[in-house]
Amino acid sequence: MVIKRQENDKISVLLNDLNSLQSYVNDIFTFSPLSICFISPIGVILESNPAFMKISGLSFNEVIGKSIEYFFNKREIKQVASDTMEKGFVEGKEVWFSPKEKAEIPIQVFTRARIDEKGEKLGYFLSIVDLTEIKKTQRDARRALMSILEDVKEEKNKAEEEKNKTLAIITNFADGILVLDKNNRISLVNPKAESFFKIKTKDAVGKIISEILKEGQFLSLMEIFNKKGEEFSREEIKIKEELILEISLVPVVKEEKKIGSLIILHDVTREKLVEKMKSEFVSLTAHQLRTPLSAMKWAMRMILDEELGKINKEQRDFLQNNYNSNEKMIHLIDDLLNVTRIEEGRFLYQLAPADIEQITKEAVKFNKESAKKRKIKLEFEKPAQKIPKFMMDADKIKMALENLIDNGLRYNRKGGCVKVFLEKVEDKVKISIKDNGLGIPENQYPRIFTKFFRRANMIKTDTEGSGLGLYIAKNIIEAHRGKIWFESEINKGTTFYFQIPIKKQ
Amino acid sequence: MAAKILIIEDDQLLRKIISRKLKKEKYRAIEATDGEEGLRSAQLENPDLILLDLVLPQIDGFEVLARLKKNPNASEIPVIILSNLGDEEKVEAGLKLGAVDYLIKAQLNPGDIINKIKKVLNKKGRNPAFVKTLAGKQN
Repeated sequence: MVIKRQENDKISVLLNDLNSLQSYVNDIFTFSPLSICFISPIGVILESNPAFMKISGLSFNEVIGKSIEYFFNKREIKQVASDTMEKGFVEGKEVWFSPKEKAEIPIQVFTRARIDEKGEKLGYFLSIVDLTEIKKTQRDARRALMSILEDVKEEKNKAEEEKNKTLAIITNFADGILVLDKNNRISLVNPKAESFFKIKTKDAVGKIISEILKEGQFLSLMEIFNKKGEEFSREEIKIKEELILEISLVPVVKEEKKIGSLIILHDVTREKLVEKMKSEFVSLTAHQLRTPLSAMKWAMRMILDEELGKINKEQRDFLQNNYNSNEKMIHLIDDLLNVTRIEEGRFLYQLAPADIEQITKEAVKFNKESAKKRKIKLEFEKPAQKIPKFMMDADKIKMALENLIDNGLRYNRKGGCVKVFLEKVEDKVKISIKDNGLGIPENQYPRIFTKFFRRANMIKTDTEGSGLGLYIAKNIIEAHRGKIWFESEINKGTTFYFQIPIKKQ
Repeated sequence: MAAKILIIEDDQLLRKIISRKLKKEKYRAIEATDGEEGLRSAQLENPDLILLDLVLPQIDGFEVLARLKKNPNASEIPVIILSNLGDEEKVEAGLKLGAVDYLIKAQLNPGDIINKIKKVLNKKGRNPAFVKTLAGKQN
């Protein structure tokens, strides 16, 4: 009896354990968010956890006893079943799962076979993992990537198009273009440049510019490069008789760093030819006009000097008037010639070191005769310190001074005076021409330096100037990067000032 | 012997005036109306100075000047260019070719020209090789 009780107790304990275990397993089975079901060897669902029921859309009564083929592609699931029985499991096979009255969903199926001790197939566990979200994320990611790739491709096409457009422009550009990289090696030669230098792009690319410029013709180009360095604009070089180019070098800068240079070659041969023809015409015309005027000047001079016999006062007066008119015309032609040259940019300035004091003295001397005739005192006040020689076009500066002094004499009265001052002010030289003459009316101030303008309050007896003197003087001063201006008061006089910077080189 | 001055000038009035003035100043004046005649006269007459116009019929003054300087018999004769072409390129070209001066007719009087001539002849006079011109400058 005791043994039976002990056995009974043991059995009770075992039964309890079994119950606990069963309860435990049940709880896990029920709890699991992963859908799990147990399929019989012939494919019938024997057990199903709530998660499986949820995903399949069936209630407990509906799902138990249902064939697993209901949810799957028959062939696929049969394959899964046989693989399970054969290998013992299937892990992560991707198939489609069709829940009741809902759309197909992509899933991964996991199975594990159950075989008893005798080797009998009891059936298999089947679990499915819903891949819908993952697939969706994958699809969205792929779409986003595709979209980005599309955008990139579009940008690339746009850039390609831009590049082609630019290339088309460069290729068809009327001027020659050379592109240099930051090491001054040629990276691009357009067809026009090829024709100028008689080279082909493929031969030129990668070379330094001096390598493609053959001897002789292009040495002058090299000189400009070496002299002007980083950047220059519209330098003229003559390649040969029929080819004159205007060359500009422009650095290409990106974010403050130089990444290359652009050389532009502009063919100005025709312009130069036209310019030359125009010049020659002007020159010839001036010559043609001057010839009869010279003859008249000389003839009248000889008569006035009584080299052809004595003349009476009446004859003298007549002739003198004639002579003066003639002189006026000669001066007008001189001024016109100068103005034409200024406007053509051909008023050549040749800079050389010169002594401004000497030049001023000479300009004053030039006007001494005229001052004497008009009975006007003409004085020059030297600078306190000797001004050293500096760069200027001496002839032109003298011309400007002569014009200004002449003005001071012309717009003055008998017994008046004109004083010329020269002084050094910091890095500039300042010259003042002061007269105590008629002054300039305020309403005429704006037009003083314009072409052909003459002041209204002229003394009628004086021969008139051409009206170009101040225009020419202004051009000369400004070409020297100087300034010219005046101060005036009616009946008190006018002072003209100009200033030019002292340039040593 | 008075100095001989050759005038190469195609304009008759101008030529006559200069000639007259030269003679008045006791120079001997030789006239040529174009370049070829001028070159011939330079060769034949061996003047002490040549007044040369630039705009001449057929060959121009620059051509005449170049040929004068190439001719060993005439290259030493000082040439003063007397022209109404005044642009700087022409002046430079003339002086480069060997002219001793470039005068613009319309800007001077005959008297000024005589002074320039005297200046040049005086300079020349100091050179013993041209002794014969010393008499020419007696004015």
